[in-house]
Amino acid sequence: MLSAMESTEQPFGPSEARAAIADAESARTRLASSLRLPSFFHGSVGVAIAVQIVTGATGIARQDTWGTVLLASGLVVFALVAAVRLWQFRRLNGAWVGGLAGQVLLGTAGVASVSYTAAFGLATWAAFTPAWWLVPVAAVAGGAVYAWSGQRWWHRYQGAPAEHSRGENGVVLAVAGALALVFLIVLVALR
Amino acid sequence: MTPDLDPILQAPARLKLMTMLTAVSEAEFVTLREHLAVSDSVLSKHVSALAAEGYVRSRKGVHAGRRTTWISLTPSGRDALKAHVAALRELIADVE
Repeated sequence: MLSAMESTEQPFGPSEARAAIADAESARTRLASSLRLPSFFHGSVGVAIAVQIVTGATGIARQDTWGTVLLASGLVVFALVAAVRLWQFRRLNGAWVGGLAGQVLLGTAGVASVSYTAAFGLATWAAFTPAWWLVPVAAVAGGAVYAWSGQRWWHRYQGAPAEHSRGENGVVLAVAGALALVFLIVLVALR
Repeated sequence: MTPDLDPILQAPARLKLMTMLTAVSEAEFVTLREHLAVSDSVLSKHVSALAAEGYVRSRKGVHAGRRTTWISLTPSGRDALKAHVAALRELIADVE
């Protein structure tokens, strides 16, 4: 005997299949398009990154206790900005997009990570030389590219949400966090 | 030969719900209800049916100071959705 569910099922033909897929995809596109970023989202991320680069590079170059404090304070500022912006996004939309946290805020997108590494490296080098004026220049450039990379990801996400919505693998993030922590400990130990 | 459609996902609202969840990591019950244009009880039934199959996960949380339910797709739900959509596309391709 057929179960209640099976007996009420309608025969599924090609036209119903086509309509079902189109309807579902359209609902997904509408949901992704309805998501809004809090105001000045990318700008605040760019500024936080610039501050982190300046404080990080200067802190490393000082090689004293205040340098360590400076370096740590830049990281705290960035972490706070990232946490508040993500909380605002979640509150505004009633949705969470892992890709936004990974690709935009943590900079796991290729352009963001390469530009951040280059800007941080240049700023740190400049902080050890008489060309100290290069520190803010590198920081602003690093922050601007980071923000632009986030903006680019957001446009890509809205165009193809299913491909970009997922966040980074937890293990990868944990390893990256552990490496950053080891880097900081080594810096403090070498001071 | 008729492709294997997943009976759990044959209800259009469930297919829409699952497909919408691929756009986010997690969504609030109210957000999904508004986009699906269904009542609380209808969405609740669909979520329960999908959760019973292990296709979605729901957890209690707080949003804008009030208690709410957050829903996300599970890895097996993602696989089931892929297989179901592939079967639907096969059904379409058979007549083209």
